Amino acid sequence: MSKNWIKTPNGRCVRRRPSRLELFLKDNEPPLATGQDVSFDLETTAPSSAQEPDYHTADSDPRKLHGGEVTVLGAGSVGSYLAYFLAVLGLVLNIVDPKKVEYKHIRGGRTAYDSASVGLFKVEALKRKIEAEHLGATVRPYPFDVAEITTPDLKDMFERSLAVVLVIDDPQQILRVSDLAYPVVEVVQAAMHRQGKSSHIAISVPLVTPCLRCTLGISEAADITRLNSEPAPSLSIICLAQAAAAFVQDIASSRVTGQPITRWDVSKNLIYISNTTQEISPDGPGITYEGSRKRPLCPICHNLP
Amino acid sequence: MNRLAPTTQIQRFVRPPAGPLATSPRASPMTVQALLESIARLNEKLDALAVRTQQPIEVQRQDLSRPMAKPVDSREVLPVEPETAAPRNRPRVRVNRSSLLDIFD
Repeated sequence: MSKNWIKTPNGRCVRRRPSRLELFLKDNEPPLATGQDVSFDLETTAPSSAQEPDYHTADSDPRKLHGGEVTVLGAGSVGSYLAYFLAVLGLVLNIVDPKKVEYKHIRGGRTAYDSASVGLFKVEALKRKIEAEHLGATVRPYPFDVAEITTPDLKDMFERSLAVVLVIDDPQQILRVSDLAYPVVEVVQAAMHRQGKSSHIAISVPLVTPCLRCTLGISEAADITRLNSEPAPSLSIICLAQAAAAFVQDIASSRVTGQPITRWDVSKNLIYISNTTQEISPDGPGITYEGSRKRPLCPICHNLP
Repeated sequence: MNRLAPTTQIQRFVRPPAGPLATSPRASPMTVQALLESIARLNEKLDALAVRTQQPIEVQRQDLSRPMAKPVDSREVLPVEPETAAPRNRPRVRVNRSSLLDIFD
């Protein structure tokens, strides 16, 4: 069959007729852009570091923290957002969490994970998200329970870190980590309370502030109650994570530059965030700073000079 | 001396003046008509002003209808509530440490 005939699906043959568009293009064909060199002027289009604004202020220069190491223990609701916010500083984040992302975690913005990360280890999902979105940030994923990590390994991790962020709800591991880290590194412990009506950030600075046990006023792990799948507003969780990330930035900056922290009174190491009207904040949501004392005979912080 | 009764004296005193309103204290139909016409003229002037200044007519009229700003008078300043005036007098509430122990992450 010649090229002028086309066989249709029902078996008939029809004569091929060029379409009107085809005929038009044949008559009015635009000239090909031949003979023109295509070149990219990289000299003028590439952004130079001299022209780029770096947005640093007198108090904080995130460029100085690049490559610094921060350990985040726990990647749940608060932990995932906290690690995500810390990533803007270009840090190396050691993130420890044994669980995988489930569908319930991504509902209503409860965590920083998205639907693409369901089924992945939380640490792996955070690594993909953070390294894709924040150039310069690195995540070292540790898909283990904190209890599985041996004491020497934890100590090694703490000695390398500028700060340790403690966002787990296992009471025994909270005390284990805080006891191990107290003489070594700054610990920022953040947690939400019942119904998300309030939250707190407890900061322990080695040899300066009391340990976490004295700050929270507890002596054993049984004093802490662990809430599972507790309902809470996602925005309150994000609010806590942002506030805690800012404190971690201050601590890391202070350790890198050697400058004292001036943004808040370091002696007040318990930061209480109320998300509703309460007796402590009768006008509405607010932040309260409160100091704490080393208790006599505390095995962690009292015997130290 | 023929004295008038007190009520008659009062009636004489409050009698309206002579003229179109002499028979009744209420406004005559002619007066209402004149008032409506003056309002219409004022509206036309407002429209012309709005067209000239390229601003919506409603805004102009709202501005005209607003009360004039009063001079600042110390007697008109609202009294400040003692709670907001002196927060230091408020007894300091301390964080209840036992409320920090029911946690989730």
